[in-house]
Amino acid sequence: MLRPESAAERRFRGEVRSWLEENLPPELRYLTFRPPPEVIMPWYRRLSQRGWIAPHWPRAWGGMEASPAEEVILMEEMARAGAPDLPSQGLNHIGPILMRFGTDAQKQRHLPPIVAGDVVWCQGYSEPGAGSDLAALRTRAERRGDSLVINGHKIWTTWGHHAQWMYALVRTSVGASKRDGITFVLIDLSTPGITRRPIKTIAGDDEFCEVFFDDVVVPLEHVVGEIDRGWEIATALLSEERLRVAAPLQALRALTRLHMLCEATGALEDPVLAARVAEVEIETETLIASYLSVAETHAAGGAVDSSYLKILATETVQRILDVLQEVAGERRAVKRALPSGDKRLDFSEMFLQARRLSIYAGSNEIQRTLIATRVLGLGGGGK
Amino acid sequence: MTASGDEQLIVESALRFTEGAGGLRRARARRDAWPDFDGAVWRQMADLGWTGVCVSAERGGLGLGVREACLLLEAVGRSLTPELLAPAIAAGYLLDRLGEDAAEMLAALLEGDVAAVPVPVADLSSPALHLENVPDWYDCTLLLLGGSYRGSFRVRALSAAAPGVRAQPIECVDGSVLAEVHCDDASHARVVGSGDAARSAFDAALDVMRLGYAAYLVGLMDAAFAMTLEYMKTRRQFGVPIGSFQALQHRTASCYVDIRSTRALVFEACRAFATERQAWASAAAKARASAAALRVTKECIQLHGAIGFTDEHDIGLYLKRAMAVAARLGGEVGSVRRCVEHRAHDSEAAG
Repeated sequence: MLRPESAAERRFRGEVRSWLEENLPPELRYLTFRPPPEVIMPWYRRLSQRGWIAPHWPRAWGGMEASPAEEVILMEEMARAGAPDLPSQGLNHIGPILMRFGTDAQKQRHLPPIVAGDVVWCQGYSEPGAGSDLAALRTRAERRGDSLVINGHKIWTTWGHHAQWMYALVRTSVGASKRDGITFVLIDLSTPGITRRPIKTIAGDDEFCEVFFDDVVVPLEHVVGEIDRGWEIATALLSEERLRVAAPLQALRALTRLHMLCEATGALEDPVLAARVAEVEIETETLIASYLSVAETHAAGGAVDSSYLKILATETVQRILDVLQEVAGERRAVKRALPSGDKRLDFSEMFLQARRLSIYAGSNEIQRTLIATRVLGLGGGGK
Repeated sequence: MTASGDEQLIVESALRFTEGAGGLRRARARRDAWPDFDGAVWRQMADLGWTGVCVSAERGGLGLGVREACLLLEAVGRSLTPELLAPAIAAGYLLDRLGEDAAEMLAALLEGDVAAVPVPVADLSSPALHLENVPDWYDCTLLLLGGSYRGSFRVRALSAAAPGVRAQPIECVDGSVLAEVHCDDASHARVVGSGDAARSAFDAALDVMRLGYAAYLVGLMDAAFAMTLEYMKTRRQFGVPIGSFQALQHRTASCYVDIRSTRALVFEACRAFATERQAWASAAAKARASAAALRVTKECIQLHGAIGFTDEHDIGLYLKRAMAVAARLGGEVGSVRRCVEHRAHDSEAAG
């Protein structure tokens, strides 16, 4: 962050830094993969107890109501300390949706466990035939008495095999438009009839999975909003969710890894590599400045144009990791992170993982089409 | 970040004045009038307070900060105002901080009698001067040369009209000028500042200029982009507006990302002014703005097709001005190099 910090912000940064120093376990530092729940959730809960798990949430629900600058300070310090990636579907997606559209009972039941780290959520949007064309989804939900009975198949479900609950879009009727007849529903993944199969990614991890529904009975009280009106709910907060996806945390984390590798290899002695590193440092500050600007507009009640931020954030991470790969040199393709002193040097893992960034949360091509048609007013539907 | 009421006034008056003065038509006319300088308009700009944006109110300036200066420059960049203003605003900032020795020069700048340009020089110790690539060289130019002088630092004011000054002006594609300047004995050039305070004021003035050029480039690329969007909505091929083609839409969206993010960086960098990150931030802003402005204006020509390659169409004026402004005080590469040099202590600050 380029702006000078207020006394309170400086104090906050100092607090975060020393607390992380004392509380972040060494075995969780500078990981390249998101560790499984039994490893990561105790850390999640520790952050929650400290009050720092939900910077953007209202205080009433256990959040910090942090200013955008405080959010960035938190991210910078997390990245610096090598703090691991946390599951965020609850905090960034379903939490804010329930706050706006949930019933009181739904809020009371689901929001506290998200903040406490007692429940992990996953998102059931994509299907084999409905990726970028999400509204083409075909997982069906039939009404039977006080329940919906769900049959179908979700895929690319991040952390689906680790989650206890899923928020999903299902088809309850066939309307005039394919966006009609979609219902937003919460599914307890311990319900009979659900099969989950992890999918190994090109990065070698099993970050996502596919989920099969075979006559899965979901009580109607788990419907968010009205039956057949789920598309509006799913899209109402999309731009705000995208704002979270576009936070500079991942770029800062990648830049930290790049700096570690440079330090270990002396790469900055090489003027060509030094220039490449400086370029991505500039790009990272550009992203932070953009994030602050959009988040401040959002906080002031202005419209959030977050498609551009999603593109910028994900492509910045990818550029940083391209440079990291150049610095890795002959070790570019080395599979696993290698220990170096009390740290680990990553060569290929984050680079491979970062392929997903420009694909998920609405591919960057979809975002570019949205910018062209919705923001810039170019017609033709962009197809 | 949105502009406050005062800021809105600056922007509106800048847009009104530059449009009233002729906008793009004037930019083209001035290009064709090379190497003439429009002293009348320059005085009007001075009357509006533009050369004194960053000069304290006690000394007759507007007493505003770099953020306001950048908002002004962004606005004048939109119509490719030939008077780049960033050097004069930086010069005003510098002369104000140099105090009494510079008071007379400052008054002349605020009146619009001179166009002052801070120019970094490696060494001012010898009386003979030979300078290459001096920008904005006109009869009324006043160079503020900053450089080391026998182990210390000096700022000297050298007027283009001073006896013994010879110059060879070189024409640039946008109608701006670079000059090769010789002076066998510059010892008569007035010393307007010396010592460490003058050095830091001079360095800060160069950073004001970097930020100012960056802001001008933001306005420039945004206006070029707006012109291009208009064209894409009206130009039809295959029976439809070319803006409906996805191949073009995606390139357009990339320009939009480039412009918005560069603008965010430039105004965030303004907030780092007068902090320990000033040098890095202003170089970063200049690097990003130089690169983005060239990317965007080249893309704008491509999106116009053949008409964009004609001199008759205005879109080419944006690329040419972007070339000239990007080159000032180090283009992308020069500015990235400066970021490399300033990394060490900044990474400490950033943790």
